[in-house]
Amino acid sequence: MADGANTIDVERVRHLARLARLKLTDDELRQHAAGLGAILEAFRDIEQVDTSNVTPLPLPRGSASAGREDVAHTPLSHARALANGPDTRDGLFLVPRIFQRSQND
Amino acid sequence: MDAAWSAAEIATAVNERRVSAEQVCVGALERAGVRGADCNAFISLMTDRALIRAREVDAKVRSDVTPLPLAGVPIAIKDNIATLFGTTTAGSRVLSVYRAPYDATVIERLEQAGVIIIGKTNLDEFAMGSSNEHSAYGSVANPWNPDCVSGGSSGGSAAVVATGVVPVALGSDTGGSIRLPAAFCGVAGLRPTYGRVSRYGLIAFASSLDQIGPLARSVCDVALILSAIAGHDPRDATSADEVVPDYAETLNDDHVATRLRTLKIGLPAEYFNEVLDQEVRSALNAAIEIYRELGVEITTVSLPHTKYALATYYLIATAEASANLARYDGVHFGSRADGARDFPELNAATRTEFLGAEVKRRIMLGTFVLSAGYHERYYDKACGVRGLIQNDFSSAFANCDILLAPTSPTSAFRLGERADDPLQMYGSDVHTVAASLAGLPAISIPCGQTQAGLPIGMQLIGRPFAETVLLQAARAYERATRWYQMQPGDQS
Repeated sequence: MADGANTIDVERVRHLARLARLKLTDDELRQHAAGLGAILEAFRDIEQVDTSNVTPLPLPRGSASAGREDVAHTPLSHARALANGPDTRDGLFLVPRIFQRSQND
Repeated sequence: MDAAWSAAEIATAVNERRVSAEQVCVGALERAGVRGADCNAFISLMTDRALIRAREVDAKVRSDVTPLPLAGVPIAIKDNIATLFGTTTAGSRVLSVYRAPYDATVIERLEQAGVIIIGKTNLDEFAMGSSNEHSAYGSVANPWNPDCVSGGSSGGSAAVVATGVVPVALGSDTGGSIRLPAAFCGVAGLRPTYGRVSRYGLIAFASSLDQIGPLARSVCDVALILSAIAGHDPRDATSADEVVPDYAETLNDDHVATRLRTLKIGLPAEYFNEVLDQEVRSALNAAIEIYRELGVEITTVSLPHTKYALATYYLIATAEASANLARYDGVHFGSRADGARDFPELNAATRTEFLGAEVKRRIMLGTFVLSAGYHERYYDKACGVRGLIQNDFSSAFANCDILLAPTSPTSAFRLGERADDPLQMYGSDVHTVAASLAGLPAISIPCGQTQAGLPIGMQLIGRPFAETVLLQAARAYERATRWYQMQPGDQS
C-alpha cells in the first residue's frame, strides 16, 4: 500500500527481490532499503508537479510505432536460436523441474 | 597510415587506391593493442576477421567502379551492439560467452558501406552508468588523465577515438551515454533523434530512450557515419520512416554559411545554474562569443521542468530496465548458475551470481516503481512529467533553432570519486537526460580545457530529425576553433 513517506522497509525489499528474481542476504536487504529510500527521497519533488493537463508519454511524442506487414518470413533457424542455450537437448532448452512432486505422488 | 587521418580521408584514399584498407587496418590494430589497452578500452579485438574484411574491401575497390562511402574506415563498436562474429557481452558477466545469432542493422549497413570493425569496446554493464566503472571487464581510464573516468556508458568508444586508435566508433545513448563520455574524452558524440537509427540488435536497457549514435574526432566524420546508419528499418517498430539527407554533403562551406545567416541559438537559463562548474561556465561563455562573432543570434529561453528531468529519467529508465532484464534467467542464452534444484531457483541463482551491483540496484528500483500500489505514484507520474518536459522544448523551439548547454556540470571526475554514491553519480547526467526523454537529437563537441588539462564539452540540442542543423552549427564552431584537433599528450 502506498503511504506518504518515501521509506522502504526490509520486508518490502524482500518482496521486490522475489519479484525481481534476486537472492539478497540480510545485509543486502538492509542496504537496498536504505539506498532505495535515499533515491526516492531525492526524487520526491516530482510528486508535487501538476500533471493533470498533460498526456503521459511512455514514448517520445511523435515516435513511430508501426506494425510490420502481415507477411510470413523466415525467422532465426532452430539451431541458431538454440546455439546460446546453457543446456539443450533434442532441440529444446533443458531446465530443472518447475513443479515439485508432492509427498503422495 | 597516420593516426590523425579522418574517416573521410581514409575512405577517399582507399577508393583512390593510394592506401589499402589492409594497411589502414594493420595500423589501427597496432594502436588498439597499445593505446587501447592502456585505457582498457576494448573488451575484444577482431584481429583476424578485420584483416580478412580489409582484404575483401581492397578486392572490391579494385573490381568495382562505384566507390564505397566508408571504404576501409576502421571503426570500434560498443559491446552492447550485436555482431554475428565474436562475442557481445554488454559489459556483463551474464553475457561473457554470448555470441549474437544476428548482426544489428547498424552493423549490416556499416559493413555494406565498407567499414572494418576492429573490436568491441568497454561499457558500463548494460550501458547503466556515467563513468564506465560499472563494467564487469574493468573501468576505462580517461586518455587525458588515467586517474580520471572516461565517462559512461560508452567510455571505451570515446577513449579509442580520443587516442586516435580509430577515427570513429559507435556508442549508444539512453540518458547521455554517448554525450557524456564524448565530453569527458574531448571528442564529438551524437545522440540521434529517437527513431532515426534502428535499435535492432542493440541490447535493450530502456527501450523508449535507447539510441545508437556515432562518436568521432570531427563533426564531418559524425555526419559520414550517421548517413550510413540512419534510416527506416522494418525490424525496429519504433524506427522512423523519414528521409535521410547526405549529412556530410550538408556540411560543405556554402551550406554552413547559409545556415549561419538565419541560425538562432537559445540558451536554456536552467542549464546555467549554480551547479555548473566555473571552468565549464567560462568555456561555454567563450563558445557563445564565437557564435556571436559568426553572426548567430543568441537568445535566452526557459525549460521550466528541467529540475525534474533527472528523477523522471531514472524512474522511467529503471522501470523499463527491470522489464528488459527479466530475460537474463539462465534458460535461453547467457550464463547459468550451477546446482539449482528447481526452475525458480535457477532464475534467481543465475541473476544473483552474474549481474553486477549497479544493475541489481536499478532492477530493484524499477521493480518498485512498477509494483502494485506505487505504479501510479512513480511511473505514471514520471510519464506525465515527461510530457511537460517535451512541451518545454516545443515552446523553446518556437523562439530558436537549437539550444546550447553544457554537456555535464563538470569535466571528468576521479576514478572512485562517485562510485559509492549512486545519487552523486546520477547527477552527472543532469544536463543530458532531458533531451533523451523528449527524444531529441543532441551532440556534444569539445569546447575547451580545464586548468588540469581535461576536456570540456558543449551540448547542442535540436528539433526532432533536425540533425542537419545541429551538425552545421557544430561544424561552424569547429572550423572557428582548434579544440577538436587537440589530442591527449598535446600541450595546450
